Amino acid sequence: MVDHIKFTTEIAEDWKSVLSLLHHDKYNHCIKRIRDASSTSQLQSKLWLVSEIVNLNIDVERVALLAGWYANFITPLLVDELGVKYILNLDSDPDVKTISYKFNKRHKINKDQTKNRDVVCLYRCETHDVMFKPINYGYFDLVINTSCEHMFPMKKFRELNGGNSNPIYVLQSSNDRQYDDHINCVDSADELADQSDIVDVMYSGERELSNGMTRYMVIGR
Amino acid sequence: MMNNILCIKWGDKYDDSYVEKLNEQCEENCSVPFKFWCFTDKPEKDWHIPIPTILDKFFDEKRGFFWAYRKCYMFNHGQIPNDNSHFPDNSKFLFLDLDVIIHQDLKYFFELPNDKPWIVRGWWNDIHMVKQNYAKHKSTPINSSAILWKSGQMMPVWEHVKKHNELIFFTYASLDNYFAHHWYDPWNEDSGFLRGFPQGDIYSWYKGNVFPDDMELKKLRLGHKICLFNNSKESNDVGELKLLW
Repeated sequence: MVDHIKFTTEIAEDWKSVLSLLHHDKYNHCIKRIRDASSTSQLQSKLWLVSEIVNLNIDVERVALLAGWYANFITPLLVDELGVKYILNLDSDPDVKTISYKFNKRHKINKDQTKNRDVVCLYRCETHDVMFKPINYGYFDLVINTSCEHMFPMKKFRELNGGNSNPIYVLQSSNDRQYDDHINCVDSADELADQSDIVDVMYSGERELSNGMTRYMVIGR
Repeated sequence: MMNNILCIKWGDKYDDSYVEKLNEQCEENCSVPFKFWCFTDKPEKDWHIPIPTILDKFFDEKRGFFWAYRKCYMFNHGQIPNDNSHFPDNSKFLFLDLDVIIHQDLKYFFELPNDKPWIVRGWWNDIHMVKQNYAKHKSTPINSSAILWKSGQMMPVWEHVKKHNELIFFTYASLDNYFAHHWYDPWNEDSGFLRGFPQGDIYSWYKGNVFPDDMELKKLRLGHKICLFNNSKESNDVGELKLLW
């Protein structure tokens, strides 16, 4: 079981740079969201996710994060626990790109590609609404969406991105209907699998997080 | 170019007197020639245009999302070849909600540059909150109570709504929020498809004028062109407007 993030000096440096950024007027509206993205329940759900992928012994090199927010917890977990080589984070919020690059600066793709040679994993972030436009960034072994309650059922994404690739989907949602932006809550992992057209279920489960909400997770194709 | 002022009325929230009063206000406050039209679910007069129904099946009454979708029909109407029964090519359109008070000459709007469509920019919103709540689909900076466009200019919006109907009706609680996510850029306000009317043109009775300096509510600002009575609360008292007619 994965129960912690390896807090290295590199991570410390990157995360410190996020705090520096928040001193600028241009970004101080992001403080609350960064705090929300750094909560206990956020970490719990990401540790759970990576633990189950480790348990399934899935070989993963390229990962797409859908609505991955700042990818502050998931990136070090994917790199250190699974040896992921490439992470693409697609989020519709324009602030995410700048801030998530700060959080993950050690993995950021440089325009000068020769500088990337020593980087263990490359991280890329784009402002992109994944339900309206297909993603055209090559193949992915794993597509992770831990924000399913915020968007249209994932069957739509799969329709948009059919093609020849057949990634494993890792999906999380919740039954917490108190927030207006939770527009697609579910009441079971089965419901999440069903609305996402997951027929080959490799893992399915639920967990109560520290904030009291029940979180559901499905891994499969 | 022919000037058209449009409004839309469906259901029972507003009775016919609101349409009549809007028409009357336009007559009194527009010094350039125009035609007044009302899209309605109960067409009775020659200036009434029946509201189409092709999007009705995507509206979930229980959720109430994208409830103002009928406004989208205006962006298509009259733009189809051989279907310009109401509007000739090269028309200009000023849409106004029924719950507005017009203070100044509407000629101003018809003389604005028309390289882009215009929409109400809710200057009463705190831009920091707009950005903070963007992903939460709250604090929307755009308001569709007044929109200005020329023939064909809003067709991309209509085509987009038609193409992504199920997705849009599921995702966006309001038309304004949809606009803010697809046709406006709060981070770079001059770069979007839609352009916001400048400060000083349109204010809100219930929300104020310009954040943070002029936010007094329920105050008439007669130097502005239009006062909106937009109020997202269920308790919106449409009668309050009548007291100011």
